[in-house]
Amino acid sequence: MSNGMKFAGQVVAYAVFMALIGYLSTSPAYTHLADDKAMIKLSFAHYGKTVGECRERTPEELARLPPNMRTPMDCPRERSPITIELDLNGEPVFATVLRPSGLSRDGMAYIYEGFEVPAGRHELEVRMRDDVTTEGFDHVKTVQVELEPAHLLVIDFRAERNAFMLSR
Amino acid sequence: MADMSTGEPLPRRALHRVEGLFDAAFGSENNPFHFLGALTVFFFWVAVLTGIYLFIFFEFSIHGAYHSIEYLTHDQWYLGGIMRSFHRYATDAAVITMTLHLVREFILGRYTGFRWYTWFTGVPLLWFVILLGITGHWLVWDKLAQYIAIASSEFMDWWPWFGQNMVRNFLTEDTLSDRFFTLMAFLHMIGLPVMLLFGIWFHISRLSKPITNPPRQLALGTLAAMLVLALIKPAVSHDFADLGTVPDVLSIDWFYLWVFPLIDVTSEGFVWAFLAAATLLLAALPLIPRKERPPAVEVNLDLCTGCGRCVNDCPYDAVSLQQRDDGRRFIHQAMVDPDLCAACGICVGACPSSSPFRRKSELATGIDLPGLPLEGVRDTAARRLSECTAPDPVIVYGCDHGVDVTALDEPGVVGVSLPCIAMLPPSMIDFALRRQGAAGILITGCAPCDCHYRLGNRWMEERITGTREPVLRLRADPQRMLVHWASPADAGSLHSALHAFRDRIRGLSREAS
Repeated sequence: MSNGMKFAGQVVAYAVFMALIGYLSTSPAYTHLADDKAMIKLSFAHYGKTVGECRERTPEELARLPPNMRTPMDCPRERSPITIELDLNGEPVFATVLRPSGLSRDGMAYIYEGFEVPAGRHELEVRMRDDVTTEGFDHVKTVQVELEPAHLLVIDFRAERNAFMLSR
Repeated sequence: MADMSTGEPLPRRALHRVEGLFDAAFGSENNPFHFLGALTVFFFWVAVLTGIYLFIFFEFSIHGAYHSIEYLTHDQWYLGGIMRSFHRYATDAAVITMTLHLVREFILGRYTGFRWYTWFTGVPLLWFVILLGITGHWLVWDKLAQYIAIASSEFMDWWPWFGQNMVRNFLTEDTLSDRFFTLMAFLHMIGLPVMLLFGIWFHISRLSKPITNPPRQLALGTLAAMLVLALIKPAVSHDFADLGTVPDVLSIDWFYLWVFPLIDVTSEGFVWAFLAAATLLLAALPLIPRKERPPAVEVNLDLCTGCGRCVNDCPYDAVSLQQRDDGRRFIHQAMVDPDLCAACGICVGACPSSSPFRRKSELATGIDLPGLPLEGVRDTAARRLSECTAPDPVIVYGCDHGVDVTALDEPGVVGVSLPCIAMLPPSMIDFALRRQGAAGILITGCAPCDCHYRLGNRWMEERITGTREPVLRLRADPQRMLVHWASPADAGSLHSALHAFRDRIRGLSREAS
């Protein structure tokens, strides 16, 4: 093979190598969300109410405890599971019961769910029950939202406000 | 023309065909397929050096990061932009060369036996490189980075102990923190590169004289090509990340980010299972039983002087010197680690005692292959020469991994195949010409820079040209010798070289008579 042919062969090899890199580094384009869709994310980390009531320890019980553990009140650690439901335009789209985290079921309950929805106007209703000692839902929020294409609406529950919050 | 490579499996034949094309264009000494590992390391260094430049201008905050990268890309395109493109494309190129390296070694069966450690320690490097790429994309904090951050957090949160906490960092602008971003920057700039460097060190630690740099011509050619790509298609960012919207259409870097679309179309659990299975399969490949491993070389202390040539020439550090313990008046003796020994025989060819000119009838050496003693090689050549009735017979010494010389089926040609051509002591060439009646000796083996045992053809060439001990004695007539390296796919060129060589030998014989 002549030197010219060898050189041409090398140029072709480098060109193919770089073309492969140049193409696959950006292409083909990936459509993560269709252009007429929006997304709703339901996500929060929340402590349910404790399952039982605190009670006062008797003097005998206190005496049996090591000195550093003699707190007068005995409070149960286990927390309520959290029931959460989401309706979209009157139709249920999600419902689940979240268990508190931790071996003693005394931690937060977490949720992170995403829902692709058509862009446009929607009615949302989100309901949560975080206390098994009561009947019905403890927190309910109903709202009309206008979602642009690619819009991300986050439904969070803020403990400090004790209410659902929507990011717009 | 005889095809002497038809006994090979199809993938190996195809690989040799492709490599043959590259041999023709680049020459075997610059064939990129012979330097895939070295090229990957080279791209790593390109990424490190360009990364240092980017780091000088990089701002460690969510808003600052994007704008500092934009400044480099657009305002300082002539240097910062080029550096960014090199940084990006070098890492992309590394994925290609790394993948080809893995596939090539697999096709060539270089993953089991004494090579298990090198294969096994290469598996984590795949994930280090992929993680390095993913964290790098994250740092730009554009819409693609937003997609990666959320998708990778969802991926991690699949494990129950993460408690779906990680992804909540990217729910809204309010929950976004510079601190998490700084952690990613640390991982990308220090943690993962250091781990990768250690990983590379482990990967090559059982190789003697590992090749970690590609030839200069190949390195410069690649850099020039990358510069052209950087000018034609500079690496750019998407729009600034906006957690109030969902990234919709993305120009994704498929070399690194393929895992996220795969999650989208399957699930986090499926992809975790897929990655775990792929990793386990790759790591366990050396356990798959293959043909029985030939026994390791053995040291004959009666003839070992502890000169250390076998130690210097072993490609896998399987031979070492230790204090003499047999009472003889030498300081050292050779010691073989059978687990590391490839049974290539290169040490046999290096041993000064491997001389067929001994007065004793038996040919004993200081180090020898039990499965194929040097005496057997000498006797095979002698027997086949004695059976040869054609005038001016030629011995073709080859190796089991190059062109099959035992299939050279023509009168006056004796093909002797060795595990590696460097098993042949140079004195055997001299001996064949002076004592065995050979009119010429043709030495062949794997293509240059592609020896199955890494260094065999290089050592052999240096011994013949007199730059490496044991050297070929000057009295050996160079007119009656030919060295012609050829890959199994290049049997045609060996045939042509052999015919031209035999014509030359016949001419020499006519002149002599």
